Amino acid sequence: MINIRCPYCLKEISLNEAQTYKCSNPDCGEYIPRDFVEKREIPRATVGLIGFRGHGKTTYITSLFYLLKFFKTKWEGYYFLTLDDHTGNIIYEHVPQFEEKSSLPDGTPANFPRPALIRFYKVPYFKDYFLSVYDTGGEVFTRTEQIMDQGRFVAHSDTVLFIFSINDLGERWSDNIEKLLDIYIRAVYDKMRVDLKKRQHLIIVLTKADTLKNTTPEKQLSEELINYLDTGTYLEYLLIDDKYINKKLKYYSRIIKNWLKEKGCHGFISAAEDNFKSVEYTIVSSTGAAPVGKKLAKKLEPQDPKRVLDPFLWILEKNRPKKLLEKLFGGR
Amino acid sequence: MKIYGLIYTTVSSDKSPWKRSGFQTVSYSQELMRESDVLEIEKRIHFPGSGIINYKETVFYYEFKGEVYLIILQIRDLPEETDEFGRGGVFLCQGFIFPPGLWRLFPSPLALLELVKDHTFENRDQVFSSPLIDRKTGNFRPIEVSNDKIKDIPSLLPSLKSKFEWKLALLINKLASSGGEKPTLLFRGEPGRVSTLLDKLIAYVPEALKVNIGWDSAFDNGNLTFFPLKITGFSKNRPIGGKPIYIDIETQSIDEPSEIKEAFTPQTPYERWLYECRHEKIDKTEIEGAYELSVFLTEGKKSSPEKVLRKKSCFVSVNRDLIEEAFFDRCGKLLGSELSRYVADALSTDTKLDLLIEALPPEKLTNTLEKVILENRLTPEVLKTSLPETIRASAGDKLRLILKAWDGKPLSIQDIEKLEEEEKRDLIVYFLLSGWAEKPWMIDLLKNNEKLFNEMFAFPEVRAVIEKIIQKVISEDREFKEIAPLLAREAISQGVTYEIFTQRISPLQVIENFLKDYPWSEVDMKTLFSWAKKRKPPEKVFPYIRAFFYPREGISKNILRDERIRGRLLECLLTYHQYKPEELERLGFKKEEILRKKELIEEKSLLAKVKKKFKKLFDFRKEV
Repeated sequence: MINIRCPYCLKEISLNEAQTYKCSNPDCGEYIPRDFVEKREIPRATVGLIGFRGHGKTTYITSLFYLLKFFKTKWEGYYFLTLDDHTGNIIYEHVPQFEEKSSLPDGTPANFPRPALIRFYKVPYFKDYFLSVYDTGGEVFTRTEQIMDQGRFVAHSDTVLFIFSINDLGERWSDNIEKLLDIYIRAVYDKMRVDLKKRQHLIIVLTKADTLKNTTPEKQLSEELINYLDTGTYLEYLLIDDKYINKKLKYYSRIIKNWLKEKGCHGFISAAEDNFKSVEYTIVSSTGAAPVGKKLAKKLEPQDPKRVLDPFLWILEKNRPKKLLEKLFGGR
Repeated sequence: MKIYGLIYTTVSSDKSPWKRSGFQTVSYSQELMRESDVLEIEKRIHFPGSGIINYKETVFYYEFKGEVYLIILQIRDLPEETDEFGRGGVFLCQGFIFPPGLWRLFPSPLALLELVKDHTFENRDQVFSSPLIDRKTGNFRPIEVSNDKIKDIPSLLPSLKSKFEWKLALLINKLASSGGEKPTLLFRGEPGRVSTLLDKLIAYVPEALKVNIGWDSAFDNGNLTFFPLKITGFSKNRPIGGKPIYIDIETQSIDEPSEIKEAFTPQTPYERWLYECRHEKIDKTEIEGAYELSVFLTEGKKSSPEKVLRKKSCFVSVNRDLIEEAFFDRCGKLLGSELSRYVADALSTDTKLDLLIEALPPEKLTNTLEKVILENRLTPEVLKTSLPETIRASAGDKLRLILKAWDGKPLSIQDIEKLEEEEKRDLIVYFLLSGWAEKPWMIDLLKNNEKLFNEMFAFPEVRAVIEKIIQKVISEDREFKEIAPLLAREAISQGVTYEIFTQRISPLQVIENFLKDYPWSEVDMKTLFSWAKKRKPPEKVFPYIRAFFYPREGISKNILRDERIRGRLLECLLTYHQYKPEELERLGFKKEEILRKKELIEEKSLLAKVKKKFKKLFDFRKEV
């Protein structure tokens, strides 16, 4: 028997090895991809996207998939396979629409999400990996009741991407992100009784970071961060190694954290670090420039998205099985 | 009547009464709904994504303030509109909330949309320019519907044309009966076709159950595991989860998983009626009436003739076993299982159902009870229970008299006088055949009613009982006790039963007539001879008795001249009285006559011996 959490209904189930893998939850009964069940040695990450509506959750994930597709031509031996039709639709219909028609993904309705299930082969430094990503409408995260219902998948995620666009949060943006985190912790820790400190990594993703390059002083990125953002094209990821992960990513996570502190987000940072297993900070620009209406400013090119792989690499790093020494001395 | 509403769409914060941006319920009827209700309704709003549908309906029932309302959500894709971030994926959901007083009038929910067609919004601009919406408070002003608009409601249900549709009607009834939990149904087809079909099907679900179900006609890309509604449709991207029964509207096929085969078998009385009587024209009243009857049968809930199905014949024919079971069960509680078994046998299934619906009224049961007690000769010993006071209080004349006897009280002539002749006869037959035959009051009753007594002989069963009573009466005179069975039998055959019963004639007269006019057997003669030997001869008014049993006291010349019995007398004198030939000759018998009789007697004796030997041999062979 194989014990596993069904990615579709999130129930812990036992599957018989001799049979087709069909979820034993009578309310679900979905077929679970064979490799997802059998290849237990391959590390896996379950990721939930949290964030306000319109702050770029879907755009980020679409841009990430766009780049991950692109890297098939760059990383030696790397490719990925979608594990179900729904994920196939995202990768082979939504992403091309984003790329070729230059149109922004539609707003995501606040439905209970279906996961995007992907198996990655030979990602540099990380090798094979399973990724399940859950994305739903941002409205879900404005009320504890809705998080407990449509947003319950976040409770079962190993990692959550806390996505927000500072320029879309108004004057009191630091209060607003603190409020979002507050609602989330209340729903998941208090009401759903999930021990976030033990179970969940938090990755802060500041989206639409290109809009923070020339903005009001209270939101303006530092020169160092602007430089970091601008240099974060796909070229930055051609070589992913220990140095990039353990030095550069970590360094800039600290820089972003400090920048947020400077901008008055002490409360937010403290709450995040006290309540989660680990917290990392990233900045991204999913499209490189602000869109014009429904369309991107220009046809998307691989060099346009900036630092889009940083959160992805953090996800892989956080959920990578660690050796004992690494566990003891290598950080969280 | 008021129809309430809500609007869910995406707006910028300046258009939102709550100053929030994004998808939200921007307006709802606040006199009916609380915020928590709005959140619950929002859980049922599923938008499959832009470009997948133009329009769809989600239909379900929801309880507000203790009453169940019908909610129809109309969801429109607005592909040309964008949200405040310039993104597509905008849709408009308009909900209409119909009070029970309104939706219960209509067999199918979607017909109600006709009442609100002038208040339906096609886009967000229409919403915010409508007088129905208070943009400041977010209130959706209720729509008033006058009675004129609801007067022409069709009573006949939309017709289901194929076996496929009937099967589905059965299936959604099953789902509704399960409280809307199982099985999950997934329809493949265009949202319009899915909705039209489900709108028809739900008409065949009784009101009490339809509130448990609802549907979403386009659940493309959804996750059924977490969706509150268990009937969904899709046209392009099949939803996941839910382990549904898959139904393809185009090909009219149903994927029937083997583990839920029973979902396609009519089980409740209502389902059986619906499926088996589907060729009859059915209206809404009948749906409700049949369901009422079904619940009444299976759950024992009280009902009344006005509430249940009027035309019951088909219902009865398909639910005979359940009606019989319910009758036996409920009647058994009232009358005891033994008696109710007899009552059940005496009634048709239709009558039983009527009696059940009327809660087994004592006044209607007593006639049947009388009948079964009389016909089956039931007694308290057989039934092992006494009748309840309600039945006793409603008993008619006959049953009252039966109960009187059951209570061990004697019945008088006055008691039965009130009855019709036929009733009297039935009652007396019952008493005679049910153990009361030898009661003194019974004998008195018979003695005092010759006509009734004689009528008893029309019944072969009763003859034997009467014979016993006569034997008993005869036996009361010790002198005749020994030959009472013979006397009783003979009295009956001589037609003097009543006379001997009432002692109007003497048993000696019966013997006299027997010897004189009736053929007798050797055995009878031996019995009588043995009896006579112990007694003195009777008076001369019984010359035949004297001649046959006491001949030496003198035989009347008339008897000796009587050619009919001369032979028998001669045989008797030779066999039982050992008369010598010369004595017989002195009595006027001729020599040849005597000789012939003697030979005949010897032949008879020889024949009897041979018969005896053969019998022995035969018995021996049988043993071997």
